Amino acid sequence: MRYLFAACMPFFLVVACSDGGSDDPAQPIGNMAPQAAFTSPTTADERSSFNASAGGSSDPDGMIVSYSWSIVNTDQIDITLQGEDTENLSISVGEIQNSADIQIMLSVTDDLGESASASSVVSINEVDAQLLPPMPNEQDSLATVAGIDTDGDGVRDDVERSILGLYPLNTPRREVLLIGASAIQMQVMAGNDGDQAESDAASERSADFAACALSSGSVETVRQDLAALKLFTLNTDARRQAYLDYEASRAGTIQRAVDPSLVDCTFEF
Amino acid sequence: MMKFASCAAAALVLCAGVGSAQSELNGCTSAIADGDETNIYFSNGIRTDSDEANVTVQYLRGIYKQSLEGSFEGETYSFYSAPNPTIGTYSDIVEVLNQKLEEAGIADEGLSALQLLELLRAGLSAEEIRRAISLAVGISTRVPPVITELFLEEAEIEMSQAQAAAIANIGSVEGLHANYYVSDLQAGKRVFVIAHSQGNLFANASLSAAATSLPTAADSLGMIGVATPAAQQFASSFYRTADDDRVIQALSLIETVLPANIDNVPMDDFRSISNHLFERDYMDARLPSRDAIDAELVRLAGSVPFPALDAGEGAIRATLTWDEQPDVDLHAFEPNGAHVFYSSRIGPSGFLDVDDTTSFGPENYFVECDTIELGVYTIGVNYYSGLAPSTATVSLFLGDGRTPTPRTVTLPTALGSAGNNSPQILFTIGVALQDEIVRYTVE
Repeated sequence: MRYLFAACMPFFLVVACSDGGSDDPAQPIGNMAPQAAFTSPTTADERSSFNASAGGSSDPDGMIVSYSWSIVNTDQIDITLQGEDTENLSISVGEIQNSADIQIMLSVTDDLGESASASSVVSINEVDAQLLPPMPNEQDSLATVAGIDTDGDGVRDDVERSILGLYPLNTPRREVLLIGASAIQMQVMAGNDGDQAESDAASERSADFAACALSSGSVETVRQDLAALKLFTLNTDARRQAYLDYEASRAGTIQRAVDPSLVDCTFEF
Repeated sequence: MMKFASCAAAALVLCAGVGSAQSELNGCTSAIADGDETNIYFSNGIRTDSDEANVTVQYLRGIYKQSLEGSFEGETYSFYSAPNPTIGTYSDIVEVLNQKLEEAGIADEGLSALQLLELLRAGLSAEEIRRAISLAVGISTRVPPVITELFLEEAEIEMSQAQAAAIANIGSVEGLHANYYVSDLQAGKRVFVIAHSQGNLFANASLSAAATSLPTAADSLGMIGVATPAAQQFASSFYRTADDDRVIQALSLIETVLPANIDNVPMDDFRSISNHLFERDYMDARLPSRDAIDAELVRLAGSVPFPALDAGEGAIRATLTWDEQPDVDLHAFEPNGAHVFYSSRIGPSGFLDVDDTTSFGPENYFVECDTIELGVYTIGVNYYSGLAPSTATVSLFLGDGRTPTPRTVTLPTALGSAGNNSPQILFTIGVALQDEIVRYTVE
């Protein structure tokens, strides 16, 4: 459209740029192109929302009558748009596994059908891996029963990393698995320490995990998650023995099934 | 519920009734039901550890609690796992997997037989297992290529056989949970046990011991057996074993077991190779076994009588049992300084409402939710009369729903009343305000 108007001389505009046969003498003899401009952040994190505003767009001889937003999402990350035909675009970013760029495209059209466009790149940051402690080296990680828990959240650093690898795009599930991982770590330490009170507390934590996990997953997926957690956690002979000692301590006890509505299923990480 | 005291008893008493807000003032977050109560226990099988038993009992709670309480108005159903010592007995199964790993040349590559067992019983596919292994620290890259569907299928079949052999080798089992079942009965609660596989043997023993201990309430016990390896179920109770359950089939070749009694083959057979797993092979809603189990549970709920209420419970409940020696006594010291025992049974806070002087017990001390005090309660035992060393066990039930591991002590000689002032302390329970909520700690 910009090309057509640029080609039109004012003199001929009434005829050459008419809308198909009208001979209305009031038809403008010229139209200046609108200007597309928008503001948006240049970076955003996963699981965040931000806006792009086309308020800076203008039309020197008329008005903007329509907006059209789109994105170029080469890496196909989880992006949801709202207001694609309004002045303000809302962009929600879902879970991503790796940082990526998206390109936001805006096209505006004025009251005489002339259009203009603008674009801008936004870098979307993967944040979960950055929030975790670094993966410890294998020798250090396997050296003790307790292992390395740099951030002190009750889950070994290597296990946290493994859980992120298992569910890179599912934070709620990862939180549930972290509860399970903390339960197994408590069990290992209870078995290692031979402490019955620790064993009782670890069993309660295991029940919390069961309640949280079954609130958001089937019994089959929960069993699979549990197996993965044991694979990650019980990865030395000493840890396996400590876990078996914990198991032995549970014989003859009972453990209630808890009300899921009373359990805090979030995990700070 | 028994009511023994008014709320105006003492200045320190945390005077609160029922209700969620008030429960924070006395720590009774696990509501004491006003109506009839039933405790449903899950007794796990040989390949199930305590974590998986917790998942199963939560699963059972999800299936049954709301529907039962909806069908039987005014009744409350609570769910517990009653874990059995399966770890020791499934060492034979672990050994089978060790051999599989050795045959495949990956026995020392970081994946243990125990870990492989966990992955197998979770029903993961070979691809899923390979992916999980790739994320674990310390496992060689030589391992994943060995884990194929064929490898897993062979392992499952060999494990089913090993599992049958392990069950056959169990011999007699102890009624590990009988004390809990008796405690429930005395508190007026029915006890139903849903048992799977080897868990049937433990459930049979525990229920039989409970019935013997409290014969007047024996008809308040119920049991549902699933894939039972037993030759006889407690009180000839209901069971379902599929006629193509590989584990029970293998076991039947070397042991006397109850006959299979259900054709469980669905239209599209989604079951595991063993046809023996609790959820997948018996509880799936598409299976005839599930319909039968549902119907039996409803039948039990509608027909089993509630026992008489003999023992109270509330914020704190301690129950003492012992052996055939004539008399062991339960003692409680309350924060107010009161010493509650057989000759001073009513304290400002709690009560000794069951006393026994004729062997075995039980004795029962409890503190109601509305008379709990801030401070420290101690629970102890004194060996009063007997001719030989006596073994005594105290089980503790807290108003927040926790049931700490029972503590057992061997008492060498009877001390008579001379021991009343210095009982052997088994539990120290702290009751304190934390962030305006009463919480219990146990030492």
